[in-house]
Amino acid sequence: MSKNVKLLLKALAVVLVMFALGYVMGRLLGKGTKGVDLPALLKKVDNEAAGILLTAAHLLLTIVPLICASGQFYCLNKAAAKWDGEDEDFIDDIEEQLNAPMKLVSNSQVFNFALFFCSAYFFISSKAWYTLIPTAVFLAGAVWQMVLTEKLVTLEKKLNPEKQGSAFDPKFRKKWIASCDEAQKQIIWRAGFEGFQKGSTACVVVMMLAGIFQFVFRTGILPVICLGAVWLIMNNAYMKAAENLERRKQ
Amino acid sequence: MPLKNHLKEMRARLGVNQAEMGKLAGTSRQTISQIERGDYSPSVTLALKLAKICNVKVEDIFEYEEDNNE
Repeated sequence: MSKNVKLLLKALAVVLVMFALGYVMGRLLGKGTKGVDLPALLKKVDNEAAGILLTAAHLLLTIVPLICASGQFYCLNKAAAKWDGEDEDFIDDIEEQLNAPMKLVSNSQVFNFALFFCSAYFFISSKAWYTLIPTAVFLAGAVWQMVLTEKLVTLEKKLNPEKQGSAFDPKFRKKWIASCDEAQKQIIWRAGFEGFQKGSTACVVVMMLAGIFQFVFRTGILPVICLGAVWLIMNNAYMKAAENLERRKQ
Repeated sequence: MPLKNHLKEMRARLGVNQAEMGKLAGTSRQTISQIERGDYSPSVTLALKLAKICNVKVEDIFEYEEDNNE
């Protein structure tokens, strides 16, 4: 048997096994949710109650993390001011702790967008003027995130004077990376690659779920299209960047 | 990590802190700290620069240790 035929058979086997698994999963889900009509169920949902519930979640997942991050920033800023410039373990510890408020701010940004649109969706279909509540939460969250990000960047610059850039600058990422040295850049590239890998795995899993839900719950083709667009952009951005780096364009 | 280093001792001998050492080598304090902790293996260029600043050979600062697990 030639190598190409072996390869073809291997690929065919993998595809068939995956297809069979997907089919079984779809059949089981279809059986388990027989008679469930999601659009009809959504129509029965009390829009006002759903909007209030989602606004509460919006506040909890956007504003509360920002309060925690602000508290952490305040303590770290105060501790950094006490640094004598000599105790290196002390400043390493502060820098490590700075990751916590950064993570909180970045995650609250995602929740802010997602939950704003979700709660506004339900309020628009019930009491439209209620939409002002998630809008106010969204705007307050966005301003808070910007201010806190800038404050964290300023503190990082105070600890490492060679770092450059402002969170308000549209070219912030470019300037920041340009001011990083080889070790910092290696951390950024490795973290970026791990993020890309996790993102790609998430795309495959969520695409399968979106596909199955489309048939079982009639969620429509929009989730699949949006996810496909994200996946396509991620893959092409990665390949383009790799191609440029190979040719040393950067 | 199979790369052991004596950068901290060398730096103490020079009487400079991490930030000053970073400035001399054209790198950041964070990188010097990461090298000293063994969290980062520097590039050949940086290793040579550090050796030149300390006025020693690269092998006097960095030591390659065979990893038995590999």
